[in-house]
Amino acid sequence: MLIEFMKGFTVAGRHLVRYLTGKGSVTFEYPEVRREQPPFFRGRHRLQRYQDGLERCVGCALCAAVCPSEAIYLEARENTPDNRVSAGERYAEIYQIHMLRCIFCGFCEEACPENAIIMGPSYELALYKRTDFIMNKEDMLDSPEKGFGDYHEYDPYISHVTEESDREAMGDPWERTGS
Amino acid sequence: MADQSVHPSLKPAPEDVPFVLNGKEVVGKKGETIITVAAREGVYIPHYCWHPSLSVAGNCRLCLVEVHMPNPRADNKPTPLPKPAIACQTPVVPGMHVFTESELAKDCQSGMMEFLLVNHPLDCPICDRGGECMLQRYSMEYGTGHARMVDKKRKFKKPQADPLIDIERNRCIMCTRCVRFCDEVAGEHVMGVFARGADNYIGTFGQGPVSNILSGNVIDICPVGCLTSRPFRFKARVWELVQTQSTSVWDASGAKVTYWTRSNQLYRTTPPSRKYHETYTINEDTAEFIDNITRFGSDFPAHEDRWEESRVRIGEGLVPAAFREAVRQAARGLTRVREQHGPDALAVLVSPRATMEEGYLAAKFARTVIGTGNVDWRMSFQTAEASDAAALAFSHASGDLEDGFDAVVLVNGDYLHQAPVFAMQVKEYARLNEKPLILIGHHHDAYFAPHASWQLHCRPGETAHVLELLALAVRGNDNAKDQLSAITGAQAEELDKLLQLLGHAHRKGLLIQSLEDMNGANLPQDVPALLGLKSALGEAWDYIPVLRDRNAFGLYAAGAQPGRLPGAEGAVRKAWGLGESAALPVDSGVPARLLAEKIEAGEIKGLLCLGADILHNAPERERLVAALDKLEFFAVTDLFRSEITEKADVFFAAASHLERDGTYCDLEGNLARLVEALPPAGGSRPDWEVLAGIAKEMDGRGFDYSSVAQVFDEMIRLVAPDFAGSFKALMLKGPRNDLTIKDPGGARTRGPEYNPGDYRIDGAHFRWKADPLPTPEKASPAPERQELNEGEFLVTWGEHVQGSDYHLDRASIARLLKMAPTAEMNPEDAYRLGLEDGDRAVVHTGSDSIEVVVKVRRGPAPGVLYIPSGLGDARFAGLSAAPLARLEAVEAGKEAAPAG
Ligand code: SF4
Ligand code: SF4
Ligand code: SF4
Ligand code: SF4
Ligand code: FES
Repeated sequence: MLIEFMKGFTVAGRHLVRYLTGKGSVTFEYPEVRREQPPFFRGRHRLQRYQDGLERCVGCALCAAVCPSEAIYLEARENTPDNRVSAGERYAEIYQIHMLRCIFCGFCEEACPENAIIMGPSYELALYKRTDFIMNKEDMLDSPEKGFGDYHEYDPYISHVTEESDREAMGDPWERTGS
Repeated sequence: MADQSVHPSLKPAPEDVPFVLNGKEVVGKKGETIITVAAREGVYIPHYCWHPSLSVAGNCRLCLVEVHMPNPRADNKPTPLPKPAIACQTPVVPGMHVFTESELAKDCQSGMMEFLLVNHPLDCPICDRGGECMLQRYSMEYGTGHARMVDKKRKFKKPQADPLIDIERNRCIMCTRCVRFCDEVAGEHVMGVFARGADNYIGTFGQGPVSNILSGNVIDICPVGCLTSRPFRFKARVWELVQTQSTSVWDASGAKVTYWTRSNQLYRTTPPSRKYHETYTINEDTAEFIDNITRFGSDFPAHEDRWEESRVRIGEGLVPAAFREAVRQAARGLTRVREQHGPDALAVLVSPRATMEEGYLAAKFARTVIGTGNVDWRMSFQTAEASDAAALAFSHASGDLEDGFDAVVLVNGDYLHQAPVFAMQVKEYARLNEKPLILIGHHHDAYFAPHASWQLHCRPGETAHVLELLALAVRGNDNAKDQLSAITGAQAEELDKLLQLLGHAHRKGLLIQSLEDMNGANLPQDVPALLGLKSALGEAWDYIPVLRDRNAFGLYAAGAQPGRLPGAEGAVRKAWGLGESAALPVDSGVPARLLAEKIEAGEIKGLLCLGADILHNAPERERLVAALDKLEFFAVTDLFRSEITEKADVFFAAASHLERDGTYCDLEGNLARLVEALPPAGGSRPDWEVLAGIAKEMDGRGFDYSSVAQVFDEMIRLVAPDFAGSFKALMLKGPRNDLTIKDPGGARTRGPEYNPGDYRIDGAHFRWKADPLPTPEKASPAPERQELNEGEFLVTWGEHVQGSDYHLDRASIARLLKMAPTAEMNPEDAYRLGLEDGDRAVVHTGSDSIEVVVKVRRGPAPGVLYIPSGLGDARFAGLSAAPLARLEAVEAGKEAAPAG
């Protein structure tokens, strides 16, 4: 028993010496100094955009379906020519994540077929009011200031009807058959 | 003995065909295909183009199976066929061996899946079908899991054809189910396959809409996300929705539906979902189609005019009040009128969309608490005599479509637009089983006409005469036959054949009569005439009267009308705690149809109305609304604020059809459960609570119910003493009451999930065996025929489900469900006047003129125009005979007909 006791003190003593000499310190001066996160760190969610500004999210609700803590709520709408939000026909009009419910499991990121939602490096999530923990689309979307996503290339989903893919599509079948 | 030359249905029954399916001995019938027998045996063969209700197309090739045939050259040893065969088109042959899960079959299935996905966009995240898609499902079960297609996929532009159905051609797998559905079931050739080869696409002719009352079903039967619902578009993902198996509040056919809800809102209505593996999902192979009104119009309770709390009148205004206070006020008001003017100055009206329990309680309340027989639901009829004729019809009703039939006679009426699903079932049964359809009267449903074996046309007012002649002719009266031939213009040989067919005493026949036709103007003659024909035809014939009112039969059964109690008088007295001598008014009672008159005459002073839709949809709406001012006390339960609720002294916020429990009875006499899909909005209460509350407040005994199930139990013991089920058991199997469901992705089961099965519960089939009416000895004299000049017509009418309706007007897409007024005419007349289908014309009747779209159909008799009442300004209710009309074509410029 005495031996165990001594062992414990040795460890504590070693750390005390290290700290006092300032060599190999494990703490740092947050928030002046910030720690680099590993590449797949699961922090605050980010909704990505394509390079042309269209949102990647098509409001498919797969993230909401897979979320084990039911933290995601979204409502989808249809894109119109005057209001094109995403690259597909559908976009998320309301997209909310309740950060108090979220357990940062990363399932949403994994389920997303469009690579729209990813979990970013930010872990600064403290807020003063409970209601502020409901993050809206605006809070998560990449903006020009924040920079568009650098994560993925622009590859419009094959069936997405954008103006460009419209042009690419074969002409109007009604025209072709003359009926 | 009549043979096949009389009608093809008179052929011998098919022989049995024994064969081997996956190593198991099974027996099919000659002419059946492998997939139908397999479905019956619980063996699931993947399929896209095959649908139990549609003809076989055999174009998706997913149902390929391995077949070994007995080889006569090798001692009848089963030898593999050189190629796999498609199960949906290969008839069963004695001694054949079928393998549905062999290596070859599996290889074929995965190969076909890869082909189908060659041009498929696979945009499931966007596709509304995602989560209930047969392509997704089969990809998981039969697919290869990877694609070898590297080239650019074919792309089509999106057409904007139909306001209700979204067409996304890129996802189409060309199964042609939708095309066949429109052609065969809906009876309208509106969709087609265009272009050839890889450029194949589906569309509508002339980019027009797919507008008929059954069109919404193509959304469900499309196995992929090519055809999706526009109103539901992107509103929610299907797996987020809660399903409630319930029934339609629109369709008197008793269509079963699933309401899909989320957060107190109805998102969509579909035919009943079915169990697939461990979860419930939409049924692509359903034969239980629903009409568009049920599908798209069931969300009316969410209208902004909804009043969610009870109100009482204080001075000029209605102010919100607690439910108990409203109940007290209502009880006080009713008591006051009863004390001052006697019980018969009070009347209780029940909406035809009320449940049986509500009808039962209304009857019990009126008869025991108030002490009057004035309780009724029959507002839509022309006259009080017509209501009585309808009661006679109900008491003779028998038969059920589920038992099938060998011949069916339909008398007058626009069945497709009065009881859409019932009409579809009759037509489909006749079409699929090649049974003869016989149409009699001045207006035949154009939906049936193309399939009719016999059509006996006559003028309005002559139907009863024709039916009597037919009854006499069946009895062997040749004179009657000649007269029949003269009046209907049918040839003698044709009539001979018809009589031969009808004369088959051993055959099971069905007589169907619309009680809606001309708002029942001719019912007092037509009903006894048809019942006379029924007696002449014999025991094997059943009779089904058809009425648009959803719960007409249920309310009749529950005794919510003058002259009828829910059961035998002794039993009713006992159940209601009345002694032998206590008053029980039965026969005395003002028919709802005479209400306006009686209020004006000051005979009715107080009114309790359960569901204001009965007043809004009344033929004499204006007169009734004006008469309401004369009432001393008026209490109403309703969903919405309207000019009628403004006149109320007490207003009860009612729970809608989505928010209450109860039972409905369809026109075949089968019970269906209405199940609470959403909690009642705000302070709204179901009508039975209102009734029980007022009754208790007025010291009525026997109103201490704590749930609607108790009301049901009390009622059903009177109405159907041998009912074997329970209120709970009436609920369709669904995710909310199926305890066998664990979680999606659990153990996989395969079984007869193909078909949701049989919902009939023992004893829940309501029929009242009245003594048959005698066949008349002599036909009544033929009415005088009116000479018609060029361009002159006799107008007949019938209410149309898409017509103006209090509830339908409040559905979110009411605008799209509305139709322009149409006038159907016989091709003979159209040819003479040089009119074509879709032309526009003006119909002048007396002082009124209506602009209509002409529909040329073999429905109306020559010289007769059929104008659905309630569409646009077309309104005829109130007329007692077919008015003479002049028709004028509007310039040659043709416009697309909003057909329907
Ligand atoms: S990280 Fe997990 S818990 Fe958080 S939103 Fe995503 S799926 Fe839900
Ligand atoms: S974030 Fe991804 S998974 Fe979630 S709705 Fe948008 S596209 Fe779908
Ligand atoms: S049809 Fe089915 S497989 Fe095709 S995109 Fe829609 S959900 Fe996916
Ligand atoms: S639209 Fe649907 S139902 Fe029609 S052919 Fe295409 S896949 Fe079949
Ligand atoms: S189901 Fe047999 S070919 Fe389509």
